[in-house]
Amino acid sequence: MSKWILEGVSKIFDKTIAVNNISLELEENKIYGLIGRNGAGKTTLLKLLANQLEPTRGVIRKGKEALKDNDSLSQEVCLARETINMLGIRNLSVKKIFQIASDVYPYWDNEYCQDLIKLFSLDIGQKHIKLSRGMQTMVGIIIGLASRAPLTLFDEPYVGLDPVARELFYESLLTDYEKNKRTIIISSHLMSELENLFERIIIIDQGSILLNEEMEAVHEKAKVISGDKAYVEKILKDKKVIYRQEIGRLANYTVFDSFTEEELREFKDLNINYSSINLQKLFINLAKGGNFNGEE
Amino acid sequence: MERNKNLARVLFQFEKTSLIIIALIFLGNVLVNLLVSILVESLTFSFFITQFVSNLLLFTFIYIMSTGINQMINVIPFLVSLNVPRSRLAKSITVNGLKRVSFVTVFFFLIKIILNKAAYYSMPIILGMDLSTGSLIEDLLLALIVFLVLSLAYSFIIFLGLVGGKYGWEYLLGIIFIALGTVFFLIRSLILLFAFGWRSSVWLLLLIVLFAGLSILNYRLIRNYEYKY
Repeated sequence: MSKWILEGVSKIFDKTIAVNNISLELEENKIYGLIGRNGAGKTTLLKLLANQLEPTRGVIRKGKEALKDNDSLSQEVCLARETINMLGIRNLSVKKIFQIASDVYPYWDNEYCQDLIKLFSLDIGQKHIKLSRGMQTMVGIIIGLASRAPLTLFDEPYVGLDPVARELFYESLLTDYEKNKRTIIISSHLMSELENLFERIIIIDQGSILLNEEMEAVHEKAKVISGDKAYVEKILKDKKVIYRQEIGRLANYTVFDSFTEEELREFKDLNINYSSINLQKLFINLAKGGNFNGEE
Repeated sequence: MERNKNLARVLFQFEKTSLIIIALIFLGNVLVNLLVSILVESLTFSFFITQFVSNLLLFTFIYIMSTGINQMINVIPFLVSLNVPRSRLAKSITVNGLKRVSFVTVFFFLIKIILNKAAYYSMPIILGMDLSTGSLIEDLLLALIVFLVLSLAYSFIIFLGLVGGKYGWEYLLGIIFIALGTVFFLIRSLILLFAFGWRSSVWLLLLIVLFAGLSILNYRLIRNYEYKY
């Protein structure tokens, strides 16, 4: 099984560095969450993986095969978006758009596509331009799921979807993933809902990767420690502190590290609070100016 | 082969609507001209034939250009977003244009043959050729020229769009100005060419070279196309 590998990939638009020297290995048959603020570089990274943008520097490959100028490898990737930007395409009916997708994706499952259309109650006779925002997102989701591309990328696949539709999407994704394994990357802001889907998380900020970790490790290591600043800082001396918030003598620390039983006992003895932090909170604290080097 | 047929079918989906619209406008025009030539006594049937041929030339040119523009604005970006293999897409865009132009050229050739038989209809002299002679060699040469001019127009419009998208619209305007400037500079030669067929073989060779060059450039530009939407 070959991994998708990014080596020193950068993408520069005029003077803007959208993706900055990213090196990454994507294991096959895993669901990745790609988290980042607006403008962090998520969509650019997904487009680079989909070979829809050319890296300014660096190489993207699967195993030993480079993605550049490799038509057969490009066909293994599907980037599902929430909307279509070309007016001439938006004037086509949804049925026609699915027909075109079925003609171009080599692994397309038409039966599954029909099941999804029924599940989402999508009116395929309608022109794409006449659909609501949520329905347009559904078209993108159905294309992504039915493409059965070995590397399927979803770029914010929840825009405009109501909670019921989002739940239907998560269920469909997981059910199909169990039967037909593939590598899936979902870029998102909705961490609270999607956290349980992700097997591995990538946090990106200003074009660089801040975190690339298994979800289990994130749950294990991402903690909030709060208490007397003097005591806590002594214990956290050699630990990875991501974010620090001080209120007088007291302080809250977001930490990404493991603790021994002894250290946990010390917390208890010194009345220091030690609790888990969810992905959303971890991301927010990182976004507030924290980082994995412990600097602010 | 199956995937190529699928792509050809996909490309036709995008131009169906504009083809129908242009065909309807053309037929409307022809109908109006026919009625005018019937109702106005001073106008002969020859007038209707002249109008028909002029409209045919104009609307087929519009059809070829609109196909090129549609492919540039809608088809190429959309199919790149669906990860259609670039080499297949690039070949299909070129072949699609050649097919359309070939069809139009054959159609014109047949019209010319039919008009040759209509003795009452007199034809003009263009490119130094008297089209009334009905010479097969001259008709074939004319068909080749029509084919090359339409193919070049199609390739050029796609080239403009691809360059504008990749390098920015300043480059596109620059190319348009250079093209217009070149035409202006060569206006005397062009007039002599159209009237007397002056150095027509040189111009023919130039058309072939330009068409081949643009096709190669378009192929490379589509292969490296970036979906920036």
